[in-house]
Amino acid sequence: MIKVNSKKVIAKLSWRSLKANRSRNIIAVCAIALTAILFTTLFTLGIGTVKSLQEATMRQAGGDGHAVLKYISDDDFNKVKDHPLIKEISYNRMLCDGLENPEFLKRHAELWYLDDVGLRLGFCEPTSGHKPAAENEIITDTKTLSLLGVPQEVGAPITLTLNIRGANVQRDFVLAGWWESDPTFNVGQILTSRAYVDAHMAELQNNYSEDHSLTGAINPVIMFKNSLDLESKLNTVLVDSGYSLDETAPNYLDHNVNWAYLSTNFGIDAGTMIALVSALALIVFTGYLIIYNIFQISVIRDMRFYGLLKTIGTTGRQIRGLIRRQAIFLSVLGIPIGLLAGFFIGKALVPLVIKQSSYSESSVSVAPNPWIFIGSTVFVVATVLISTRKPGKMAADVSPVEAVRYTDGNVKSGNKIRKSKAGGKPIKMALANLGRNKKRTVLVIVSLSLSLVLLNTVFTLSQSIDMDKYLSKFVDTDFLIAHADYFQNDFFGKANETTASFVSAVESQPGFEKGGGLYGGREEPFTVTDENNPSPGINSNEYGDFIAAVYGLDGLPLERLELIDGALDYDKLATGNYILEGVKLDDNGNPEMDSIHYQTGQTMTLHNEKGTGESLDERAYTAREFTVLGHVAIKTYSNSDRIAWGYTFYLPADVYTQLVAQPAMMSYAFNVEDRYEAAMGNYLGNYTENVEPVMNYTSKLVSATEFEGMRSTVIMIGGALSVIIGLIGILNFINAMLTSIITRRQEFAMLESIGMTRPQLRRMLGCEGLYYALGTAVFSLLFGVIFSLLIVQWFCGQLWFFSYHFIIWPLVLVLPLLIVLGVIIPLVLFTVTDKQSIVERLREAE
Amino acid sequence: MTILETNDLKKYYGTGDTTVKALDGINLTIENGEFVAIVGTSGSGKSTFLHMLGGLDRPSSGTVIVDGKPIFSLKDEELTIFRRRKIGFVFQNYNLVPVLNVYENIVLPIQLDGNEPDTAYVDQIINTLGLHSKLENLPNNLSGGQQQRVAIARALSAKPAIILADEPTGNLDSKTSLDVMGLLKVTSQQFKQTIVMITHNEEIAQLADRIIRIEDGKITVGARK
Repeated sequence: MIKVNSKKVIAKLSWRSLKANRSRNIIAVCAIALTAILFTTLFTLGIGTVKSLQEATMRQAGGDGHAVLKYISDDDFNKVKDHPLIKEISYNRMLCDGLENPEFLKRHAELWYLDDVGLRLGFCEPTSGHKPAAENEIITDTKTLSLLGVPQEVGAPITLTLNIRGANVQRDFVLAGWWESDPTFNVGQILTSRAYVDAHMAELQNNYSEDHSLTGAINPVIMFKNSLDLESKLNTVLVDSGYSLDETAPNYLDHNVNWAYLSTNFGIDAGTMIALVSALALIVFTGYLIIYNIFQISVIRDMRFYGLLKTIGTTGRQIRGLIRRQAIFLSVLGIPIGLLAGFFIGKALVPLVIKQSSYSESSVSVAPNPWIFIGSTVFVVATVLISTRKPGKMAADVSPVEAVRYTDGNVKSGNKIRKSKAGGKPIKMALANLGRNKKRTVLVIVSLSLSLVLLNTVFTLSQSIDMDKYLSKFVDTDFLIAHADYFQNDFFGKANETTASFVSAVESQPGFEKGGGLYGGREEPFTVTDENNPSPGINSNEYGDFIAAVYGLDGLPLERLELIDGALDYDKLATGNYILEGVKLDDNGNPEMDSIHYQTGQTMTLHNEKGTGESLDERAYTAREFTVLGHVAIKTYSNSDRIAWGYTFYLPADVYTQLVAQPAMMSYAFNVEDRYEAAMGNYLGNYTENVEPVMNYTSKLVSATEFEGMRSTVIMIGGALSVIIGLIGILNFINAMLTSIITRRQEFAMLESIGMTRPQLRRMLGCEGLYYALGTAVFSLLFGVIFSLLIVQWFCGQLWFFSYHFIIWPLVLVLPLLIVLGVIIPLVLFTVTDKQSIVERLREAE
Repeated sequence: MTILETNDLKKYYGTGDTTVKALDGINLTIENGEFVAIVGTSGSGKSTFLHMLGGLDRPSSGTVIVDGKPIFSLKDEELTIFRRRKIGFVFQNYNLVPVLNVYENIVLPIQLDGNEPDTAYVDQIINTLGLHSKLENLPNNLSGGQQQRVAIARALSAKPAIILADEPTGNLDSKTSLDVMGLLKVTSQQFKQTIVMITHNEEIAQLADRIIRIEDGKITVGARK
């Protein structure tokens, strides 16, 4: 093969023919931009959501460091810090075993020294004031300040009670700066200066392995170059620095990688993967439908030109290059527009998604991540190249002789024969015209149908979200009140129990019907003896008994227990000889019977560390026999502490309170008369805001609102995508109609010359548009029904809070609009393009 | 009987020094059943003249009377309807509707008028033009000569007062040209059809009953008024 340098002339040719195709260019740029919008929206939405969730998780995990070492000494720190794998390492030193100020009873606080790296990785850089420098300067978060009752003022005095290896020491500090508390972060952070550390060096000498004291222990946070395979990087660092990975070895360092980075947390599961891949495929397909159509039409129109080029010796390769060059140039114009618009659309949608996640209180951050733009660009360019490949090949393969006779519609007509006698009627002629290029007609119809089917799917999904299923999972009674920690899955016991004042305030409200408390907690841990447990030693104590959750129920919650087998005999239960075992429910509300440990009628022994002493040695290890009366459902959000325990039991509150020394009310559930529901909601909102801010509540109303939010999110996101895909479909239709009208100008002139009036011509074009619309209607109805029954139904079956409902009305509702557009668009285009006289148009071909 | 008459027909393009006189005062009468050939060099104004006769273009001044009707007194819409009833066109490049079969193309003007075709008459045309075996074919599968025969059949089908043929043999080889001319001649006689044909081919023109020569927008030969 001879290599020739023809780049320049090809560039010139492609530039010139680009300029000659103005209307195509505008439509192509729009199409590419819309495709780019779709990709960018998807990527922004995806990356933005994952990133926001990740940040929320990291805040909960206490920072975005990749790994931490725990309780090490200065010597250890110096050995590790210069390892080549480590990009950054922070120096975080605990300065006491705890802060004993009474203000920190409900929300603990810690006193640390963090170097600059530590401040940054821990999200603790002061937003007001300055970093601590002097020995007595501290910075902290705003919630800690408000608990202490200290004003947000540089120089405000603060007295802290430090627990130094068991001894309380009072020290005076002044406030140097503060930052806004993160609502997901439940421990107060008080940070002081290097000068403090230097001044108290003796006190901070730490020997964690011997006395387990935290005072002076260093917990450095490590950042590697990237977050891949953190576990083995951390192990390499430790081994290289001369430490053992064996927990029992004397030179073992306690360590762990940040669980926010572990893929299991929000790893892409199969469902998400399928959704993502099908969304990408859908967009590629949508883009292909229009871009292919645009280029195919344009190549056919320019066929004579390509034939001419071939006649004078242009090779097929060069013609392909010419078309690719035009496509790329149009992409250069279209992609940036799409990237920008898509980014902002995606950015607007991310908060809606986050709101639906369990991290609803977290701040949303959508930064213009370069990967969003790189990824979208790659996908758009790929779509454009795939779409222009065939038209390019068609132009490259044309024979120069045939090209001269090549006109749209006369393309190697498959049909030689047409059996009809009435084609002269405009309505019938219109139908025949659609048959000129069947493939194009099909592409346009499919392109228009896509958005309709998507729209219908979106509404089907939103309608299939089952309010009852959703509510029954989250609320069992009208209201549930408890300490705020309970709702953070962090109920412990007496320290964060539901206050009696709150309960009596609620009981005295108008409309209050019936209520009851739920008792539980981990302060006097329960265990059970179970010889049949398949994995002894796991979740068990020194006696070989297994940790269990036991709840005492009173009144309403007791009555609302859902019996699975056995009997719910309150009299027997009240004797104190019987117990109910809890059974986990799967997402669809079916009991997981293989999770039970005791059969109905079997006896079992319940133990607990009864007493209030700090150390377990001061407590009594009790044992009491019960007969299992039956099994009841564990409702995670209404009758458990929201943590999945291996063993769960329910007892009447009277029996439960005998078992523990200090019963703690975990939550209180109650119903109100229907007409007082809203009033009670307002009362609780106000009460938990102003009277007892650490208390909180959920209600059917709140959950119903969340539920509506989820429904509107589905509609918002799906609707936005449908609208964009719909625009692409309409653009495709406009392009097909416009080029069809332009290429047939001469034919129209001929028709007029043999007596077709303008109204007849318009009727014919209107009918063509109408047939497109009707074709789309038929296809989308057919495909929409099949898609809904096969795919959407399957999808709804995968998610527990969906009950599939077949609906087709959203599609049917849009059809009239489609039909109006279908008729109007060709008429408008005809009026716009029809400027020349008959004679001029007749001559055009000569 | 006079079927077509023009009076001082003028068509000027532009103004002042750049005025182009495409037609410069043409007076012509054509009798019913005549087969007239209009000849002239390219740019002589013969095509413009034919377009005027068919009402495709409006003159700067003067009148065209077809079958007793001054056609430029009609509005565009009326003119189109008049055209499909009274005038048949045959073009150089056939101009058949590619998506309609031969039969549909032939009866198109009748159907556009909302009428059912006169089957006996249409069959007669089809037989005369030898298109019987091709009725269900699409135009692209026909040769040039066959396509032009379809175009002639289409022009005849509405029983127009006059057929205007614009270089009907321009795209055909000489043998086919003679065949098509023979058919035009036959139809002219058989159906008493007035035909006005423009051509630049003297030999073809000789087959007509009468030859009119146009030079620089004026009739030089054959005005007969």
